[in-house]
Amino acid sequence: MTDQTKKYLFNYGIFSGIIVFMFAVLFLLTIFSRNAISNNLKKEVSIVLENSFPNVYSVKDEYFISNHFNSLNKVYELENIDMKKEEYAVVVNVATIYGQFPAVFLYSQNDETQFVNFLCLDDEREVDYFSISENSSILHWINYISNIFNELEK
Amino acid sequence: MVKKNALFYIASILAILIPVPCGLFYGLILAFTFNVLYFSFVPLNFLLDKYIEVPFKWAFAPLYFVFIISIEKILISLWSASFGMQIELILYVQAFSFYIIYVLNNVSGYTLKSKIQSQIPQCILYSVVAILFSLLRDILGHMAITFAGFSGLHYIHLFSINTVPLMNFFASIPGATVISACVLFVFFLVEKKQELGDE
Repeated sequence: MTDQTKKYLFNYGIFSGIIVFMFAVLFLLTIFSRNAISNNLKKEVSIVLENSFPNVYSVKDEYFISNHFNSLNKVYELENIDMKKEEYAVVVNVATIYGQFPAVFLYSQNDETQFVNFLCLDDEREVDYFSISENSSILHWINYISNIFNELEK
Repeated sequence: MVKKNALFYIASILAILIPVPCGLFYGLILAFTFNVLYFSFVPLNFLLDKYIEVPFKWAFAPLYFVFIISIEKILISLWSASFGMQIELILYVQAFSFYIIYVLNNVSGYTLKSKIQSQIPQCILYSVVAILFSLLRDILGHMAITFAGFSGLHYIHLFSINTVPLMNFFASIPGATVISACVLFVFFLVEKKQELGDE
């Protein structure tokens, strides 16, 4: 092995090593933090649901729809006190004229999707943000969520 | 060089701040991210230049930015998952605009110390503009100051939101564009005045 080859091996080895190390750290962090992040969001969804429908829902486990949908959004199974139908809380990023805000939608099995509330907002602002997006982005997500669940049920 | 590029830097930070939701804390996060990227990437790039010779070294910068932003996003999500979900896209946008700034800007100096020192004024300028812009927008648009609480955002209300009607326009993206135009105009006037003073 010539000196030139040794030098190439050293340089490429170190460079690839750094990149592999970075992605290994990222991969491990993502794996280990996944449950904690999901539980954090579950708590926030519970608070929002409790404020809108006191003592009706308890949030269960995360529900998997598809890799594409679940990587950007989150879906949680809900347990209703009357236990008559399956219901889900869907958290999506809604683009409003005030920027992007995560919001909670409620889907019931008989094709009823309704907007519950925004996350990351206080009570005073929620009314403004909702009223300006009600017929645009919120309506779009209501239809989109209904379509996704309808396709799953087919 | 700093003076010559000042408007360019301010325009770049304002372009990132416009789609960000209204709130001081968002500005703080962006300023923090910018400083973390700069002060970690400059020494790392210096070491790579000194010890490693590979033809595709340029590919390291975007990968490193994705790494740092992903870690930051995970840490933010552990604190508040909804906030992490909200700010994720903005952080990636900022990282790539930072990459353009870094590529266009020649980091001067031969030693690590001089390289870092040459970047300090730009980091200060970037941070000050981001924080002041977010604060101004927060006060005008929300009549409040947004801080981080234990498990999410916390609002300190200065006035009731109905004190001055239609002020929530400044919390919106068109409102942010108007504020950014005003900020750029003020900096342009200051720069013009300084140029006249120098002559």
